[in-house]
Amino acid sequence: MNEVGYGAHPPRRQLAAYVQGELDGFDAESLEGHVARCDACSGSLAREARVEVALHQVAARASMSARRSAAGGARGARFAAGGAIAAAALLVVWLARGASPSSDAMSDAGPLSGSDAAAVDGG
Amino acid sequence: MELSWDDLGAGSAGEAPRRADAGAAPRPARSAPPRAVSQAEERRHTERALSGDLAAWNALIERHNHRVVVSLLARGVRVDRAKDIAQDAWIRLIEQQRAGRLASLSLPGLAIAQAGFLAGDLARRERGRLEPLDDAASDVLDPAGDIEERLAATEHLAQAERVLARCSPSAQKVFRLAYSGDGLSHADVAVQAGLSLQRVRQILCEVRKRLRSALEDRHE
Repeated sequence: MNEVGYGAHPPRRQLAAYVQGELDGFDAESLEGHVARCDACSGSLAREARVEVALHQVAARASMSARRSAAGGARGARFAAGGAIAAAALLVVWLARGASPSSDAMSDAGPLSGSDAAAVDGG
Repeated sequence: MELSWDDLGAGSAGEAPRRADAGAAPRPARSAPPRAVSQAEERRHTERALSGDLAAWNALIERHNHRVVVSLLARGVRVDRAKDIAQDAWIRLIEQQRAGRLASLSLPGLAIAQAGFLAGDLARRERGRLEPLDDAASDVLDPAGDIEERLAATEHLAQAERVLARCSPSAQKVFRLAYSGDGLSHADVAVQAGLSLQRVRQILCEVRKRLRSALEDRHE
C-alpha cells in the first residue's frame, strides 16, 4: 500500500483499504490523522464504511441462512430416522403378535389396481 | 488497543471500571485484525473472557475492535471519536461481565451494539448541552433511528444482496472468503481462492464500486 502523507487527501482505494483492515501501522495512523482534520475525507471514509458494513451484513445473513438450511436438513434427517425406527418397532410388534392370513396375502400382492380393489370389495 | 486492569479501575470485581484516559491509552498498531482465527479459538477466547480472563478479552478486542470502529464511522462518527467510543464500549462490556450481567458474548455484534448505544447517548447529551447553531453534535449520529431508518437499512441490505447476486461466481467466492468472519486478509483470500493478490483486490474493488453506486443511487 502507498503511504499516506499528512496533509495529502488519501485516494478512495486507500480509504477502502482502511475500512477493510488492510492498512498497517504508519499508513493507518497517517490516514486517521488526516481524516480527523478533513471534513471531505471524513465523509468519504463514512461512505466506504457504509459499504463495508453492508458487505458484512450480507455475508452474515447468507451465513445465517446457510446454517438454518443445514439445521433444517439435520432436523429432516432426524425426523426420517425417527420415522424409520417407529416403523421398525411397529413391524417387530406386528411380527411378535404372529402373521395373519391377510398379511400373508398382502406380502404376495403387488399394488392394487382398480379391478383388484373391486375384487377385494367382494365383486 | 490493549486493556489492563488499571484501565478498568482495577478494584474489586464489583467496582465500576473507569474509562481509560484517551491520551494515555495504548493505540492499536494497525487497523486490521492481526490474523485469521479459527472458530474453535474464538470460542475458547469467548469462554475465558466470560470467566473474567483479561488476556482473552484483549485477544477478542484485538480481533474485533476494527469492526466496531468501522460501524461507528458508517454512522458518521469521526475517526478519532469512533476509536474512543469503541474503547468505551469494550470497557462497558468487561464491566458488565465483572458484575455478572453478561451471560453470553456474541462478537462483534454485542460490541457494535454497545458502541452504537454510547454514540447515540453522547449525541443526545451534546444536543442538550449545545447552542442550536452549534453543529458539533452532528459528528455523532443518533443510532436509535426511527422506523423509516430501519426500513431504509433493510432496503439497503436487500439492494446489497441483489448487487452481489449479479456478480460472477468467482467474485462471489472471493466475497464469501473475505467476509466469512474468519478474519482472512486479502492475501489469505488469494491463497484460498487460488488467485493472485492483485486479482483479489481488483475483484473486491469492483464489488465495492457496484455496491457504493447502488447505495448512493438510493440516497439520491
